Amino acid sequence: MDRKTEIGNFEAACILLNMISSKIILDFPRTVSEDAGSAAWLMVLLDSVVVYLLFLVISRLYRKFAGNDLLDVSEAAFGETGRIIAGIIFLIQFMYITHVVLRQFAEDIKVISLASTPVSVVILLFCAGMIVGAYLGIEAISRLHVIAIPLLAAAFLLILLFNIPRYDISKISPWLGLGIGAILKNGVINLSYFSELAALFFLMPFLKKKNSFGGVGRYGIFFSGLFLVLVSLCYLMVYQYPMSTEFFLPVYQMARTIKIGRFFSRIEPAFILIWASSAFLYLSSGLFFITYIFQRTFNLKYRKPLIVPFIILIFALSLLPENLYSTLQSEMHVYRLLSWLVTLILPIILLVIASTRAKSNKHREEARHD
Amino acid sequence: MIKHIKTVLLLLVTISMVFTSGCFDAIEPDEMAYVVALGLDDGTDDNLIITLLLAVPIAVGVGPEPGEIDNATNMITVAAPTILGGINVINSLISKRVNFTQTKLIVISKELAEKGVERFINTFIRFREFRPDTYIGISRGRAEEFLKESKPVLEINPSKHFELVMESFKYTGFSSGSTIEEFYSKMECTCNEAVAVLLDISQIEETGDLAGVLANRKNSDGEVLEGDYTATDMPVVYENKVRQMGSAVFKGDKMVGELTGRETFYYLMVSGKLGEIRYTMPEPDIAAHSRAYVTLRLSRARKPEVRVKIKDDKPVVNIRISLEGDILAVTGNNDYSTGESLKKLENYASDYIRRDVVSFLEKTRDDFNSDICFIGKSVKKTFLFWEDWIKFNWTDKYKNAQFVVDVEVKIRRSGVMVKQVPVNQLKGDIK
Repeated sequence: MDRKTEIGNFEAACILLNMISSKIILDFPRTVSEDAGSAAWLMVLLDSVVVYLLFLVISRLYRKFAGNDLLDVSEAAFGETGRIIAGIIFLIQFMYITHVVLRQFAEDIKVISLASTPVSVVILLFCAGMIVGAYLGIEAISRLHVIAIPLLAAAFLLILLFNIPRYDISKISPWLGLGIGAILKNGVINLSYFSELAALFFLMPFLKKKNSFGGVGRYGIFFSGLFLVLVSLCYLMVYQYPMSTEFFLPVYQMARTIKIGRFFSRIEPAFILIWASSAFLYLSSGLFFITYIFQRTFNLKYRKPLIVPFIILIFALSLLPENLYSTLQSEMHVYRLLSWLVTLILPIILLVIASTRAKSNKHREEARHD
Repeated sequence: MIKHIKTVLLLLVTISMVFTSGCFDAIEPDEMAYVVALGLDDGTDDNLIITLLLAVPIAVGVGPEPGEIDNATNMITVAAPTILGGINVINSLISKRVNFTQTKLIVISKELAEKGVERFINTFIRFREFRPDTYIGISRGRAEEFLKESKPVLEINPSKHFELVMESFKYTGFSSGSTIEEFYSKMECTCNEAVAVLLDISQIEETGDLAGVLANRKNSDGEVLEGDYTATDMPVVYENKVRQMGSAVFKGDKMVGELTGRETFYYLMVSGKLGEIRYTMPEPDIAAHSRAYVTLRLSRARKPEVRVKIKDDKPVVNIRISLEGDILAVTGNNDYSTGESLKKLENYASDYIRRDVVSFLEKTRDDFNSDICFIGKSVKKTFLFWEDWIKFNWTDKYKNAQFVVDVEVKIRRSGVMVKQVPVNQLKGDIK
């Protein structure tokens, strides 16, 4: 059923944009400033450029496999075993980040808004939204993205614009922050901030124009890179290092301080709305990709029956970390360390091997015909 | 059939998400006690004396008679080792839950500020009910007494009263309008230091007391210009006894000194925070005892330019301040509206303000050793690496700073008069 679903390039780019950029409203500006100090924006800029260049390589290699997802490529490279192993790897990646982000969003909303509500109830509410999204499928999710993303982007830009009176360029000095070594070393690990790019490899079969894969990825990376650089730069121009490492939700903090005249202030409740919308879209997409990857990995006929078992699993996993700090630690020290390899390096390896095998098969075929 | 059931279930889930998401945290506004101002004093046995000025919403809504603050607010004081611990005690005895979302002012006693304020600021920044734009003031006496004496006369809403009073620095220049987030940011910054509004209660009861107060504040020219004093000595007789004038200067989290209202005006000028204020100075070429003054409306023409060069490990600070203004009043017989006289007034004003700015900066260096004017950020911009900047230790270097100040005042307008014809030119000196 899902295979017949088609989504446009803009819809796919919106999904990619939200999945990569939603971390802006979580702890992204703070963690990058912990890694590179006042030069965090420079590190993010370098990361964005590197990811863009790596994606150019990937999209060039992918041309031969247009219309196939990465599991098809894995199968072409290593046969059925390859498909299952690659499927499990991507399944683990999506499961890990989805449960971590679910817990983060729930904890964040508990801290700033629903202070008395048990975290499990907040998580349950998010889970309900995830079920609805995953049940309706990628077409519904992508169309919701098209409606929501321009609004979310505009709201985000408004927060940055309203903070202009507080920007002070001297706050991003010393210009190279914690040093070139720190920028390069942590920059490699922080390539993982683009790990949701993996979603594009599984959106491939749904694209109306199969060859426009490269364009979708390039636009997605360009705009998410732009937002990530912009938020880290603006945040640091308001809160200098090391104060920038103290705030739990940096963009929320920026929204709290907006005051234009005596009447236009306290706009952060609007921020919570933006934030919850982005979270629902992210988590629904996450659950969809988890069930889709599982279905494709094990060649199952139906995807929808997988939704409930996986949401129970994600719910349970999200409650495992003892506290908010453990959640953040598990994201920083486990996920970020490895996921850039899975998203950016593994596809290149698979594509090179699959291309080589395809070429040698072709030669073999030609030799047999001769 | 099954398809319909699924659709209904999905619909129910979606609707329940919209309508039930806030149930656990639901609290009615009339179940909360809104704190308008919070006071902190030093208590015994390491306890804090926490004073809350609570709004009485019904009284504010109905509108008490002006000055009847007792009807619009209610005061409560508790001793506890921590602020939120004290609030917990208060919550156990009043019928409503204390809420800080409408708090406009935090008053800390000078005694406590001199010991360090980091432990309180941490609470204000961390606890989400405190707004980042809440003003912070240092009371020379007890914060509790300050709040007790707060009797807004012209405003029935106590919250609005505090907000408007604190914002008045934009058109008076006599206080710094520090908010808790701004204060915290400067306190944590490696290139400048924090200031807070200086508050006190006036002891002046009647007009007869004014002469004594002014006599104590005369400058080297034997005069007292407006703002040449702090909150305690303001020569004002007014029903509301609380005063704000000048600034409390900090180094790190400890208060190290005070600025008068006029010095605060120079602080705003150098740090680029100057609004549009009225500034009085003696007339050019007039002996001090003649008491002839010019009042100008001054505002920032351009952002102040600060350049720092390090010579022999000593910072040489070049500051260029550009101001523009109008002539509002001339009390003497001279006309400064046009031509050479206008030029003369501009040059005189530039030099007069320059001398005062230099003496203010020297005070921050010699008396406080505290860079409150963001001078360090010009130095910070010359560094590439954080580690080098920290090793440079700007806070230590500031005590050796030398100041070269250039002030340029441009008079753009002369009010609704283009010139002034003195009466003595028409009728001679009348004896």
